[in-house]
Amino acid sequence: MTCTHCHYKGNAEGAPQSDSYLAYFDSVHGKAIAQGNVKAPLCQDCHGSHSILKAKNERAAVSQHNVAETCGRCHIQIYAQYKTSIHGVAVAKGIKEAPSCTGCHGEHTIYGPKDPKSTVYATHVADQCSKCHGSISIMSKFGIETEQVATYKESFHGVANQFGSRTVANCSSCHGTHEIRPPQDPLSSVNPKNVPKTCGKCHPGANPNFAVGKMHIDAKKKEAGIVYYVASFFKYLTIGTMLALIAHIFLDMYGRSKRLRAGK
Amino acid sequence: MSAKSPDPVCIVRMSLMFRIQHILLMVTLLVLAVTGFALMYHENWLGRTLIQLEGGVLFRGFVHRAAAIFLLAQMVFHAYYMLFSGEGKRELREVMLRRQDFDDFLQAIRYNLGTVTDYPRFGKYGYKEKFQYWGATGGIFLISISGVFLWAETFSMRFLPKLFLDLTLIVHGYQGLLAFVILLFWHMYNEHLHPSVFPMNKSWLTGKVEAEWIRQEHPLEYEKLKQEGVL
Repeated sequence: MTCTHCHYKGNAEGAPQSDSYLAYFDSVHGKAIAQGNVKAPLCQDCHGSHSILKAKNERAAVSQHNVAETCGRCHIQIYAQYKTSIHGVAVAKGIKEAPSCTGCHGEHTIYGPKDPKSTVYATHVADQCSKCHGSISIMSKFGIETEQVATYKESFHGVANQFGSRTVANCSSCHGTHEIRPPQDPLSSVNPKNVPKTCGKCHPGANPNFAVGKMHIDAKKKEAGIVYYVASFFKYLTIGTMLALIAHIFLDMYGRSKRLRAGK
Repeated sequence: MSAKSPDPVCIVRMSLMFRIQHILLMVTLLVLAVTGFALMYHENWLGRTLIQLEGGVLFRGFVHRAAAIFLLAQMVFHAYYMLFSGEGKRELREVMLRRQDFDDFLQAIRYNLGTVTDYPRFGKYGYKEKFQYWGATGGIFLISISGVFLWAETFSMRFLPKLFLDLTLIVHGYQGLLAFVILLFWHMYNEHLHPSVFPMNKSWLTGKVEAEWIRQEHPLEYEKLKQEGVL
């Protein structure tokens, strides 16, 4: 690999300086090369050889628009799934905010999903998705709610995930990874018709009951419906009980001090 | 207040059997509260610290469920003891709710507000003790039901929609909070802060209370013990 003859920090030739190659050597691709896997990609496999363009240039092999096809030269099946997913369709339509491969996996820092350094490691998935799905400025353009991330983190799955459980469901356990589709799509893993099968991956014997009720709920918000009203009822019941008990203590103390003063 | 005699007459109020049950219940409820509230309040530092102290979120769940099984076992044993043992049957008669308890409660309030002249006279257990006992019993029973639904979540959802479990999770947490609040403001006052027992009614350890305390706080019981010749 001769790219690093020029593209390194401190080079004298005047070529763009970059540390990217160091990240590359640590990545799953760089490690595979080091282990002698001749199928693993080198710089030119992604960036091209004589046709190298900057990533910002739409015609570049690694541009947001083209990178999926570039990765797909090796990852064919994944590319096929991705192309028909909501993200793939959006990228094809030219939506700049939609993620292509590098949007989730990183560029030179791609690691296998089982590697804790990976952006798509089980406990990192929620944070990775929330970079866009938690952003009102991005999601409002497409009419998508941003509550999903917060409500997930409040759910039992989310809490267990935040405290390091790798077996509990994260975003992609239910929504899929490369094949993510909107819930209205009959092929979506979170379409109410498919929910029993999706939940059944972890909860054996899951049935259509799993799809009854909103999935992402925040008991503190009115959108949660009856859950919100029951939670509010209990909140005021607890406060009311507390006040009644304190009132009882004061009354009882008052009565007792009267008895004491009377010398009984 | 009577002058303290150097060697006050004491009588047994809590037998060894009940003291053991009380201590086990106390420890179990504390474990359940600490592991439960850690999850309920996971978003603040106290919850986070507790979860870490409890060996992570999964071990926390394990401890919570182990304590829950122990609590259920205690509940079954207690029901058996109260219904079938000689001592239990006697105590059950004493602690049984009567119309009189409600009247006593109203009279106590009226007395405290100054509209009647006499404070109610209690037997072995007054309305405060009975409310504590039946409140705890009923509370533990109800929170156990919601807890079992949540534990067996896949099984529950064979019959019940997800929405029901969402509600159960909310109800279970608030039931715990409510029980905690009642323990704090009722039990803490009656058994610790109340001037007649401050800083603590020691009968949960020694089993004994002074006869003079019985005479003042539970006069009907005092008279009964006199009649029976115990005092």
